[in-house]
Amino acid sequence: MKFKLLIGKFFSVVPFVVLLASCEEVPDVVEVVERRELCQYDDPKVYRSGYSSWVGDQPLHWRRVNGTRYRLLNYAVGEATEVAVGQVNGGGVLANLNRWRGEFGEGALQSLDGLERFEMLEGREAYAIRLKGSFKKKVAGMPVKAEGWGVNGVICDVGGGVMVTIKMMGPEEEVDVEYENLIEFAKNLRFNYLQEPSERSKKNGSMDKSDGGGY
Amino acid sequence: MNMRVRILGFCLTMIVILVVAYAGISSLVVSALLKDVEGYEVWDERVVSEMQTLPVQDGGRVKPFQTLARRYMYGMHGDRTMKVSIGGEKTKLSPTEWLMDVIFRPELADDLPTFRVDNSAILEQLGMDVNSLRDRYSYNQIRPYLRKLQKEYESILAKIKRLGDDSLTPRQQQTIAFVRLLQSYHSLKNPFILSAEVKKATGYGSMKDFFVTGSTLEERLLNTGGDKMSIIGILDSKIVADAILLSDISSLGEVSKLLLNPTSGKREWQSIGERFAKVAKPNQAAYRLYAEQVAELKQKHGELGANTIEAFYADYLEVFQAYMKRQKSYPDGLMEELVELEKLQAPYTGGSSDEQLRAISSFKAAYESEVDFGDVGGDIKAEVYLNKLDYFNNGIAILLLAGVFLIAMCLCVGTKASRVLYWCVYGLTAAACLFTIAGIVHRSVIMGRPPIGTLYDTMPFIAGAGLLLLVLVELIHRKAILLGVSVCFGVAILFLAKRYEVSEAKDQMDPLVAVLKSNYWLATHVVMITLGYMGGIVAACISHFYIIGRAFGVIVDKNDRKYLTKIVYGMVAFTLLFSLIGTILGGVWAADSWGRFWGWDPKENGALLIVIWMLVILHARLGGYIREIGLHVCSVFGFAIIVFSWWHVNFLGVGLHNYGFTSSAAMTNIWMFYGMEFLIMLIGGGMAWVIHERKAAEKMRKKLEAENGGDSEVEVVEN
Amino acid sequence: MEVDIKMAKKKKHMGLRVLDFFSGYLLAVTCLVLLGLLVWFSTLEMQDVGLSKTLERYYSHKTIFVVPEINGGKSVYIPLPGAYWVCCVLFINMVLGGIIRIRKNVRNVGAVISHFAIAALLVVGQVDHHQSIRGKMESYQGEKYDYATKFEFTSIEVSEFDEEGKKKSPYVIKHDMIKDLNDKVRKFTFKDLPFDLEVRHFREHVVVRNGANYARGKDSGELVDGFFLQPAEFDVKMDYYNYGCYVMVRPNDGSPGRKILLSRSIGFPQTFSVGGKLYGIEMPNEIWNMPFSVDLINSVGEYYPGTKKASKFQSTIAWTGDEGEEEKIETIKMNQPMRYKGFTLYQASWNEPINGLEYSGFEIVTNPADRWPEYCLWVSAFGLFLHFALKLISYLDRETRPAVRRDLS
Repeated sequence: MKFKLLIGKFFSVVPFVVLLASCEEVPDVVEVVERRELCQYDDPKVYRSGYSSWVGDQPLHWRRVNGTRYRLLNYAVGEATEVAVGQVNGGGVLANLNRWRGEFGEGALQSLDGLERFEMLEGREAYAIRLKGSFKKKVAGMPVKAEGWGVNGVICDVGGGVMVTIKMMGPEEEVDVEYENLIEFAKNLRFNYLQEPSERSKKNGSMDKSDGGGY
Repeated sequence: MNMRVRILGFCLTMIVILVVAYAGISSLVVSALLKDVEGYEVWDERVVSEMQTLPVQDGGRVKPFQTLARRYMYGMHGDRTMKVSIGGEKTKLSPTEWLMDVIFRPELADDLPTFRVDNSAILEQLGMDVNSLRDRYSYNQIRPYLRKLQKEYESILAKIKRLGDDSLTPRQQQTIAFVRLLQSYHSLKNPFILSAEVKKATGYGSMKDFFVTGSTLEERLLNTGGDKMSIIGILDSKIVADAILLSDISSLGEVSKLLLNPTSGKREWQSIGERFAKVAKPNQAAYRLYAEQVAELKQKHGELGANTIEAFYADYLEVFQAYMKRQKSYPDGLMEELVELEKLQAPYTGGSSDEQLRAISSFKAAYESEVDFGDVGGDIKAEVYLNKLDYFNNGIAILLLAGVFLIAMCLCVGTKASRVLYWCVYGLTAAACLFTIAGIVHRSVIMGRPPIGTLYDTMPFIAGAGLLLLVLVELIHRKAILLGVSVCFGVAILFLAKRYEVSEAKDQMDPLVAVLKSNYWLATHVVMITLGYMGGIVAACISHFYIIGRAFGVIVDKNDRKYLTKIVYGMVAFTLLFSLIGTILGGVWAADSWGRFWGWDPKENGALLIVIWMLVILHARLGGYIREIGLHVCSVFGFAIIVFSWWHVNFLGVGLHNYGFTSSAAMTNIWMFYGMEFLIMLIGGGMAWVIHERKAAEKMRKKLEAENGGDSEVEVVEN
Repeated sequence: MEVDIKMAKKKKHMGLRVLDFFSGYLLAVTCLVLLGLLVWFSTLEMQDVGLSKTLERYYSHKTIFVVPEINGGKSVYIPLPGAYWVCCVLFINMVLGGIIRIRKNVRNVGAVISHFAIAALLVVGQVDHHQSIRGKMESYQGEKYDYATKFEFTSIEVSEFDEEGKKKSPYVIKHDMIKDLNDKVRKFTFKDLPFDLEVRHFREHVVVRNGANYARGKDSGELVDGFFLQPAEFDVKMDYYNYGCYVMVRPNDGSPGRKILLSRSIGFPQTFSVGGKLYGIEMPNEIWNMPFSVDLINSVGEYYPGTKKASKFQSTIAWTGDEGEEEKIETIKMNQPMRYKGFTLYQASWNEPINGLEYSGFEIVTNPADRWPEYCLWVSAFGLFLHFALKLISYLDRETRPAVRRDLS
């Protein structure tokens, strides 16, 4: 009988040991030692659904921050300056530049002559613009105003009516010194296209979807 | 009390329980007044029987027209036949006849009482006079209120957008469902040929004019003799007519499913409606652009007149050509098919029944030989035969007959007639059982998969397997009680199946989603689990008999009681074993398809609950915490747990076994059921208490007697 | 007779009576009823708070007592003991009553087998409870995927970028280290990094809101770089958590710190620089490196004609295991996963091809207990079958014999 009781005790103690072991408090300061080996997750070239496919080499002091649907890449510079890479459908280079100028109360240009131009995105023509002064714009229906504001803008027609824009906006003095950085950034901007399916994928006839019926 | 009176009382109570269950399942009476349909001519039988075997594509498989018609009729009419009065004579319209009316004779169909409305408040709010809460209405009765209904519908949709689905009141939900039915009805009507309005608006006499003989246009252009004004007029009217026609055809909607594609000869055929819709959209866009451009021209040149005609004409031709270029051409064979369909339709709008018969036969012949239905094509003839035999409903009929004999047998208990009647009841019950099983097998063969794949499938299976078990056990013991159980059980489950089929208004034989397409697991896991349900339900049915029978004093013999208790005990063991094995197999399947053996999915939990409860019953009995009545009360509670697992968890809206339906009405029924079972448990509990008290008093009396010198033994009676 | 038993009971030693209780039917029935109630309540609660939360609440070993909350948080004021502990007691009860103390005779063989198997199942179940890991691998054609993201576990990853912008092996702060930081702050230090991190305001399910378009509410987090965290309503059907938190980067050289807002949905490392070097920080669900890689060759999804009902999903993958192993080509179908070295890989989702690239979502599970629960259950089912079969035989035997006996007497 005693033996049986002992067994009973043993079984009733086991769970408590498990309980105690699992309820350790995490201290307030923790040294992190665990490192993960690099894997394919860390390769920015690999496409992941839902995330931007743009890749930029930012200057050290720019900080990449969360973006939005319109800010495919978004950076914070200094205290109040933002850099946003965006995509605009339609309107043309000139119209978009004039829209930016309009925000600073400057008149519309008639042609692109005289603007700084350079090549980006595999040899496509890009135009840069520098604006400063008093800024007026409507954001989400609310008028936004700022004095002593500046914009450095880059725009590039990538074809198919799509414009890629890089717009840096912030206090005049912050924006002013970043102009060269922005142009350098623009020149190195890349787009990750989805990879081509491998040869054997094609060979396996997976792309053969008969005449679309049933899909 | 006289035994016969008691038996009668008992029978009546069982009937009341069945009726309450029935009321819970279906929503009882619909106004019995037959609607008189004027000018209705009944279809020729031959035409109907030819029509009902027309293969159609629906729900991912090929099935007879009849099955499709049944599905629509369940959804709209809420019944399996439509009863109307024609010239004062009561007539039943079959689903096929009704759908033929809707398709071929819409003006007549509009007078048929097609729409079942369960809550007349949704019509009252539109200003309609209604007689009873539940009634059936014809399209023509509703027609004057359509605009108001549309408004109400839009406001409800706006509310959904604003506040989400959950915000709707039951009446608003019913309104939405009703509007969807009307939309569905609308798209069923007259899908093949040009309606009178379209004919008038377009100037086309038939599809043939539109598609095949483009020459009419050329002829008409030639006839103008080069008058620019007339040319513009003809071209413009052609384009406008195209547009009207297109918008008409592209709303072909649901019955476009009928239209098989005889030319592709492949598994992946598409209906004409679908193929049309593909072209219709860009073509309609082309038309809109054309209309804009013509309006621009008119602005540029001024209205068309003698002095503007020259400039206008040049520009117009450009616009016209651009339009023709933008027009997408129709897929090969499509036009021919439409023309074929028109041929099919023509005789139905006034031709003789012989012509109709010829039309349908030749239409069927046109593709029956050519289309390979592949693994989605059922055996049309076998399915029509299945529909005709209507196994499960005939099973109910046989069982009801058995029930009548059974009551008679009870009432002449002890006589020779009773013995004869016993064998009648036994034979009928066995016949119903065989019939149900035959139905299950027949369905299974047509579907080409094991018998259970959907919730509906479980019901006939439970009925068939349960009846078989009861009939076999009865054969061993011949105490007749189980025959009563069989009748009640069989009728209840098969009725549930019937009501479920009608209220779901789905074809229950449609193919299964990919993850369920595994004959091995369907044949093992699903069958085992369902057998587990069956065991528990049969046990609970016997327990109902025991509790109510004892309450009425019908089951008085100690041996009878012990017999029932033993069977219930055996059924509990049966349920445990099958539920356990079923659950394990389910886990193995889950490990195969989802990578884990157990995932606390609601359906899994339901099965686990059954296992746990059966273990509780067995251990409680071994420990002596429950005896006879206790066991029966627990087994009734087990029924509630089985219903939780079988039905309730499907409504929880989470988990991988989700069936995707949520209906507040069904939930009400489930709660009603729980309530009823609770009541029966209360009766059982109360009875046990009374017996216990009585026995305690008896013991006390005997003890006193013993103390007073008597030496009678203390008898321990198990209760 | 009865009197004798009572006398015997009275004489029993206290310890024996405890043993009686622990091996008795009363405890068995109580445990089973409690277990039933727990399963029932948890099933109902699932529809409000989702699967993983419910499991944590009812079945975790940390739950001593649970108060069921069904119908959207309306409490049912019946505290129930946690399922884990009920199972522990049941285990003891079963071992004592169903194996050790049960009367050893032929009729009980089945029962002993069943009890033994179920007791084993409870042990195996614990292994499963503690060790099974599940993750998701999303794969597009043309890439070799060698990682999955774990379900239900977030992490914070901090890594340095070299001069060419290449990421170095990241430090990982695991879920358990941050999940209690609702209103606490915890400091994390790193040996090789010139800064510490202070993590706070951890939330299980948030949306990241743009401060320009949304006003902050009472429960919102603070505005950082134009965004803030807003607690979001949890979608039960998706059972998807979008974790979020705020971190403060504190450079060791005493230069000013930098606030960063993190959330799973951001999906890329946000960057900052300290001491002339660039660092990235992000909050993915824990990345799970696989000892193999998967290359999606093709992925097929089919529907029944004219419907949106799936009739077939299947993927063909090229599987590369450890170095030196040969590449294998396998086809994964519904109900037919791929198993390899304790990993099970099965098709969990399928999408229309994106830009012509086919896609398959796989779920990956490892489970040290893997098939053991199954074996236990089979044994218990066998035991039950044996038990009931013996009972049935003896019952039928008795049923048919009385007639004979009556004749004899």
